[in-house]
This record gives sequence, structure tokens and C-alpha cells, in this order.
Amino acid sequence: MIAYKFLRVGAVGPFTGHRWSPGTWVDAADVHEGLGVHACRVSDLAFWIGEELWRVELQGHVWERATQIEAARGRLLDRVAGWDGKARTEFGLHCVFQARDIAAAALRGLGFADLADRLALPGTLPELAATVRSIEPPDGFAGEMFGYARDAAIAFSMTGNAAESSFIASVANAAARGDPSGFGEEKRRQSHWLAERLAAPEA
Amino acid sequence: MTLRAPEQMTCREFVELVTEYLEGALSLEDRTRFEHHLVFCTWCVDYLQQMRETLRAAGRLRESDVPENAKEKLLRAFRQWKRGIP
Repeated sequence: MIAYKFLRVGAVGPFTGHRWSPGTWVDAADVHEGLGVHACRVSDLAFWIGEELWRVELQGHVWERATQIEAARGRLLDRVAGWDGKARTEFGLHCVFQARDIAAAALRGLGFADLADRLALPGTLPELAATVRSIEPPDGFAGEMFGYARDAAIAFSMTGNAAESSFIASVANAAARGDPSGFGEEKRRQSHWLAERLAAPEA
Repeated sequence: MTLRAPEQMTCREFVELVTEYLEGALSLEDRTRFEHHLVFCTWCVDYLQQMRETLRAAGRLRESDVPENAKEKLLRAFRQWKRGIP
């Protein structure tokens, strides 16, 4: 089975610190769920953003879970060349503007059309950051929704952390939907956006 | 923010669970939530690294490694702290 795996720079596992050697099979220390080789389906990608993205081959029993899969053994095949610093920034910006769009739609529905129009106008991150800084947030739920757009724009301006803007957009969607499942729904939408952007086929 | 997505871990919960994570004692579900949090929260990534470093350093120390005068100073400080003396 072919799947994907995010790693730190130098093909290092983000949680275990294991340094992968492309092509070399890695066997799970113990063939029990939770202790295997972890990987992503396309729909899981946005849950596990990291610096490097690799295609992996999995063998043996594969456990399928909500946001990842896991196998008894696996090996790195090749790096997804399109996932680099530029792609991470594009993904982060996509999520910032997604948070803005979710907030603007919610504000319009709550009767704050003027505020929604102001939020919807900026086309670049500096413009959006300046706009959200210039707005006095409304009270209550409208203020909360505006806050997601503000937090996403300001945080990404300061840190460029794409995984953080992905998280904020996903929470914004859960809030707008009034249902925690909106979080996973937005993550999966982002994952498919990523897969299209990277031309990464379904595992 | 996580009130809207209650299955997501807060930084506070992360700090509470860090020792269990390092000991491999978390349930599969909690470990996944913990690692989801690590993906985006650079503060908690730093905190986890500090905890790992602390455990590595402390794990090498034996009681006999502490010089006698340092041990005395520490014990005095703990006794005063317990009695509420600054």
C-alpha cells in the first residue's frame, strides 16, 4: 500500500526522532496497534503538516484510524518534490483566507454585512492584517467569528506557521457550523486542496 | 478556541500529560490528540524538548553526585520553603 508521511528536515520522524533512510524497510518494534509505522491517507494530510513530505510503502497488517493509518512495516519511497517552503507558505495563506471567508460568511449571516464586506475586501496578507487590526470587534458570537479571521491573519504574519493557520481555520469552521465535526470537515477539505496542489494521488 | 473543537488538546492539558507521553503511558487516542497538538503549537514543541533534556540530564544524576555543601543548602532551602520562610 502506498501512503504519505510528513517528516522533519533530514527525514526525521517528528515524534520519535527516528532518522529514516529512503528505501530501507523499518519494522515495527511490536506488532500492536499504536506501535507501528504511521502514515497518512490523502484525506489525513492537513492533520500532520511537517517540513518534508514523503511517499511511503506499507506492508503487513494496516490499521485504519480517524486521522492516520499504521502498518507493521514501511519504507520511504521518494520525497514529494512539490512540498517545499513555498508550498507551505501557499498552504498557510490558503488557510488564513479560508478562516477569513468562514468568518465573513458567518458575520453576514449574523447581520454584520458591513463588517463582512470590509473583511472580504483584502487580497493579500498585509492588507488583511492591516484591515483586521483596524476593526473594533463586535460583541458576542460575531466577535468570536471575527476573532478567527484576526488571529489567522496576525499569527501567520508573525510566524508563517502553516499548521497553525490550518488549525485556526478548522476551529472557525466548527464554530460557524455550531458542531465540533466542522473541525475534521475543514481539515479534510484542506487535505484535498493540498493533494490537488501537489498532484498527490489517493493512497 | 478549543471549546469549539473539544476533541483537540489545549496547551494546559498538554502540559498535564507530558510525563505520561514521555513514559509511553497515554492511550492511543490521547497520544494521537497529543501529537495533533504538537503539529501546530511551537510553544509545546519547545516545552516537550525541555522536558526531554531535563529527564536526560536528571537521569544521569545519582545522589552521591551532589556535593555535600550543595545538598545542605538545598535541604535548608526546602525546609524554609515548607515553613513559609522566604
